[in-house]
Amino acid sequence: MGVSFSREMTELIESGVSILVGTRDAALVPDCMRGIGAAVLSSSRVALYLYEPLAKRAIANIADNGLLAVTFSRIIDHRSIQLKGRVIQVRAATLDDEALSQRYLIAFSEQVALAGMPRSVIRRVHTSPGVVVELEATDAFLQTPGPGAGRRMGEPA
Amino acid sequence: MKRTCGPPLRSFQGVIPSLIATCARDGTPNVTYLSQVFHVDERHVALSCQFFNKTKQNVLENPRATVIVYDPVTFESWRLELTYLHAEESGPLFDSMSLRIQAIASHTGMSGIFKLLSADVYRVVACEKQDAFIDVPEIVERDDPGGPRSELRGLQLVSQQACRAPDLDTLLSTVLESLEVALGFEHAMVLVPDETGERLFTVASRGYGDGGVGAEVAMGEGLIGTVARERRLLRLSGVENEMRYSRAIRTTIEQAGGRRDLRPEIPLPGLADAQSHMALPLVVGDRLVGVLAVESKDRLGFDEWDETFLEIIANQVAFGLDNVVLRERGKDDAAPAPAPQTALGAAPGPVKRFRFFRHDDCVFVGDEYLIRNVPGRILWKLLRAHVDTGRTEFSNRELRLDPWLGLPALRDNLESRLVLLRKRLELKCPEIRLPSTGRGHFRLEASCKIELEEASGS
Repeated sequence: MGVSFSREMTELIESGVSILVGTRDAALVPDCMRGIGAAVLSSSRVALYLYEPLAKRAIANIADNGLLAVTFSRIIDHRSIQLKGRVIQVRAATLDDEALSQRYLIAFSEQVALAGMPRSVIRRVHTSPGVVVELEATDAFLQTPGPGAGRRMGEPA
Repeated sequence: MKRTCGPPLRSFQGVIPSLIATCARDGTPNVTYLSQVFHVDERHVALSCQFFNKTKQNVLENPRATVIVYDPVTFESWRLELTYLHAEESGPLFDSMSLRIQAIASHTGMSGIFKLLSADVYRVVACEKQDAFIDVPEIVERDDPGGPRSELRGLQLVSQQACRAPDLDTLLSTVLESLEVALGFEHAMVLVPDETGERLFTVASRGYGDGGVGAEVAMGEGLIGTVARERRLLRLSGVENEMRYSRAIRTTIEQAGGRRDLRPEIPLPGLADAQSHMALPLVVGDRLVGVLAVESKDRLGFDEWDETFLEIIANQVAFGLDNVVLRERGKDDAAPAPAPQTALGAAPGPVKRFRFFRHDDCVFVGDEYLIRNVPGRILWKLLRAHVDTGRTEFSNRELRLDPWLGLPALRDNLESRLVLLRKRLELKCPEIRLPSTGRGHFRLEASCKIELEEASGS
């Protein structure tokens, strides 16, 4: 089933929400990490910025099978969506990408502050060297906690 | 508590949500937040299952999972590789995890909807600290307030007061004072059950200004009510985060049309901005004699040490509370009543108008709410006797024998009602006092003129 990001989905993805990235290896052992930046590239494609020293397993998993899941979750109300699909490109981050990550962290620190944690925590997070993975999403799911979590977007409740 | 490896235990308090990745049999990964990872032992953790979601479905197909937990002080992270073992739907682990969820669900009006289905137990296959993604500032580890000697001193103080306090008021106020001065618990309250056993009311508090005493909680409602009903200790950290998670579920249910099962959200008693709560049942034998509740504005206000230590204190307080009530009771019959005295002439001072609303046993002074239920009826009886006959001397025994007051025959908690009544008077109408005259007797002292009015409507 194809995915076409709605305006609301695009806004959520690019608004400095939590980014949770999941991959798995050849033995189906899963891995997860946080992303520190995201940009919508087209109606079904999204770029994710990862801190490279922490992403070695994820990158190896992607090299093995290309599958990736990413959840975007707004801290204040847990509004969440999950995209699943295949990575079509992995590349070293450019200066522009690093700037994107910096902007993301500023927006994310505001959300963290709303949740009662100090903004200064986010200033301590390392961003460079970074790696960018581009995901072609084939599925999108509602992930807001509750009985309907996991429902494919566009399907009736 | 120090551990040799793995994340510090504070990482398992749910202050910062954890991440979990699983993988379906067909190889599709899934990643989401977890409300809490429960530390079982060095080799096992448990995850709460509230809904049969994709994570649960995946681990039933493929038992491997990876979780990231965060230290809420340094924000360092640990990566735990897990293997799903089994789900527990009853037993001590399930009860511990369930209690926490019940309390949160109750506060957000979702009792019975947001509930634990199972405690899912996983073996920790590998644990690694994720270095180098965040600068860690030099952190001064949180010390106990003065080390073990100070703790023992605090315990000794509380124990001494619990044994020696001459009356309930002294017992509770000195215990709460010691909790603050010797042990650093700045916001604490003691609640006792009312005559119906369906509600608890605050009989003593410290660190809440004027607002604490008299506050009520229904049995089974919220943190304190849940602790009272289940008679189990509960510690909650990072409450805002848990509430947000629960509210998100509430919103989802509302949007799905399940609104009719939801009840209104219940405000937390105590501090408006508390971040950590701990409530301990005060139990003697099989009886609940009260609840000791402490709060903190710190997200990590209480840890395992506080839990263990306060449990010892709570036992002392429970026995002290029970003993002092029994001792007071013994005095009722032992002593003859002092010679009845009557007030001569009208009392000096301003006029205070008291109104009694019979349909809900509520007493107002002027336009201000004063007290209700049994303490309200006691006050009304005393004021009526004083105004009609000029009496000033009263005994606990006559209150116990008056059927209108509705005190149960056994374990009537009269002393705690009198403590509450005295404190409310001190706060709202200091012109009326009820000092003890010893051995189960007390006096009504009024430095005002008293007017009484019975109101039938609301």
